[in-house]
Amino acid sequence: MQAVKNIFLTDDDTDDCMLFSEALQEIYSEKEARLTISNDGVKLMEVLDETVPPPPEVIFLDLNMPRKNGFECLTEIRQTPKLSGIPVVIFSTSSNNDIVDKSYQHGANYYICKPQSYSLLKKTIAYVLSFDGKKLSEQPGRDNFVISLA
Amino acid sequence: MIRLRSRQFKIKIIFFLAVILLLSLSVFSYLRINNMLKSSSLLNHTNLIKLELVTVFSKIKDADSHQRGYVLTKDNVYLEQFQKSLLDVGKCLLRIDELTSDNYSQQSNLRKLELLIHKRIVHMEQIIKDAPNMKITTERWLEARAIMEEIRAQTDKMTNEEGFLLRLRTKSFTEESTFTPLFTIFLTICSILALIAAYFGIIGELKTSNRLKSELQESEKGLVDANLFLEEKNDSLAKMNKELESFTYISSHDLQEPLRKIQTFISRITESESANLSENSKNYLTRTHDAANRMQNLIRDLLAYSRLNIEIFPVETFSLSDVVDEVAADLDEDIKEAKATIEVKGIPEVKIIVSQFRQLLTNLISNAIKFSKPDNPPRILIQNDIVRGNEVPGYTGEDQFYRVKVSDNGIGFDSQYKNRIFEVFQRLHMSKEYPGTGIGLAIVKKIIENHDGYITAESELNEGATFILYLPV
Repeated sequence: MQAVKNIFLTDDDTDDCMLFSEALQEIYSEKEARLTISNDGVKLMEVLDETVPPPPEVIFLDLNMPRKNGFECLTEIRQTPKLSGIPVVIFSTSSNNDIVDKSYQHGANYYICKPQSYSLLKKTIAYVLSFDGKKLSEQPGRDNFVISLA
Repeated sequence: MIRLRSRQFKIKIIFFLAVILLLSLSVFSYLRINNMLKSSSLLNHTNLIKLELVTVFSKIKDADSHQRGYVLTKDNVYLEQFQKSLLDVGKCLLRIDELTSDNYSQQSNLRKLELLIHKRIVHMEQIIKDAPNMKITTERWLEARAIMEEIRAQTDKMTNEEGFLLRLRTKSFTEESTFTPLFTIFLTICSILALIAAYFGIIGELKTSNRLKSELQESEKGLVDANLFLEEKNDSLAKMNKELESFTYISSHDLQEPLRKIQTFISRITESESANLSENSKNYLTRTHDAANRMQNLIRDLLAYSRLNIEIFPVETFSLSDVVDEVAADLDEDIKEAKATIEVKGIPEVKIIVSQFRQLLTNLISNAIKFSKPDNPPRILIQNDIVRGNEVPGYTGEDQFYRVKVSDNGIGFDSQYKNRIFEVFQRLHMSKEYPGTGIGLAIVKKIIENHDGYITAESELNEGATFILYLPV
């Protein structure tokens, strides 16, 4: 029996949060995975500060958010010793190369461009969560940084 | 300018005239003064001769009276006086000789006078010799008197001749110089007029030049002002352009967000609720989904178009066939489906902004595939040459250009649309026949502009299309 996957999602868009949550529920039962949602960067940092350790399995992080944006969170996570090892997957609308490059340089582990269909969203989440802890916490080469499933 | 030059020429002529007038004025004045000096010296000369003649005569008379005194008194004092007068007479004659040395007729007159005087002196000396011994007869006195008369006549003759000569010479001089004063006055007036004309000419010229100068300064100032105004305008335009670009970028970026939601929720309904939907609803949902997809493509292309202004990277020399291979790999599925072939010929390298040129080729090749004739697999030929600037339409310089021709064997287009196809949202076909956003070729054109290059298209309906790209070497 595998331990409960502790998954964080940070997104100010409630629709996206709902869809993400539904998709995750269809992939894993409540016993297998637990989703913690924060609606902006400040809240994420507060939650992380309270709950870690143990660190979450992975953080899905939107970039464009009020108060504290994704880049600021990412920088802060990478600079905080107890958080720095947590895998961070950027979950953004933008497919702009500049943004992708910037995320890579800030130390994100993977980059997901929010898919246009629910089935694709589900596939993508399942794909990322299928990585083992080691693969998830290592930063891949730039070519494999963006996860894009057809 | 011509008017100005002719005016300067006039002033030169006027000055030249004035100089000539003044020169002739001085020449005439010199001549006139010279004549006056000459006539006055002539007058002097004549008067001197006349005076000497009078003196000679009076000295002889003196001698005569001394001789008479001696005859009456037999006193030797008179004799001395007599001798002295004779000496004076000699001196006088010498002076007259000198004065008339240049005049032959007066010289001969003088000889006669000398003879007469000599005769008279001899007569007087004879009388003086005879006086102590005998009484002087009346005849002898009469004879003396007759000689005296002759002398007087001779001196009068000489005086008259001298006077006549003087009148003659003076007349010729005055004749010469009577017109001189008039002419001098005329010349003076002329030079004054010339100088006045020159004065007005110069004043006019100065005024013109001052006016021109101030006009020049004004227009310079105007130019500087206009320049400043233009610079300001330019700055504000650049600012506006930048704002507009970022507006386009941000708006199309943000438009993606709700659209994605629409697409996702539609997919959610069609996937999980399809059993509960009527056929009609399913049909509508499919159409909604298609519309949303079209909008998605539009936004994606617009975003790419607006990003072309923001992301301008340096140009590098790159292998043309490598870029084509990369693009072919991206379009692999479409190429295989359409059985398309791509051939690259000519000069192997080009100078390009690689990421943008890749996009450009993607658009051109996918267009070639999209607009191929049914049952006629697309053949795409990419030919690269180097051409001179004068072969580049719209370019006027001397630099060389790469000419990349991308030609296909597709349906082509009517050549009257060859400029319109590069404008945003301009489409030549119904969406149903050939779906598209109308931005692809606008992106191509923008990319070419980012390269400082030029693009033209050649085509005939059903004869394939050729896009000719000119890129700076």
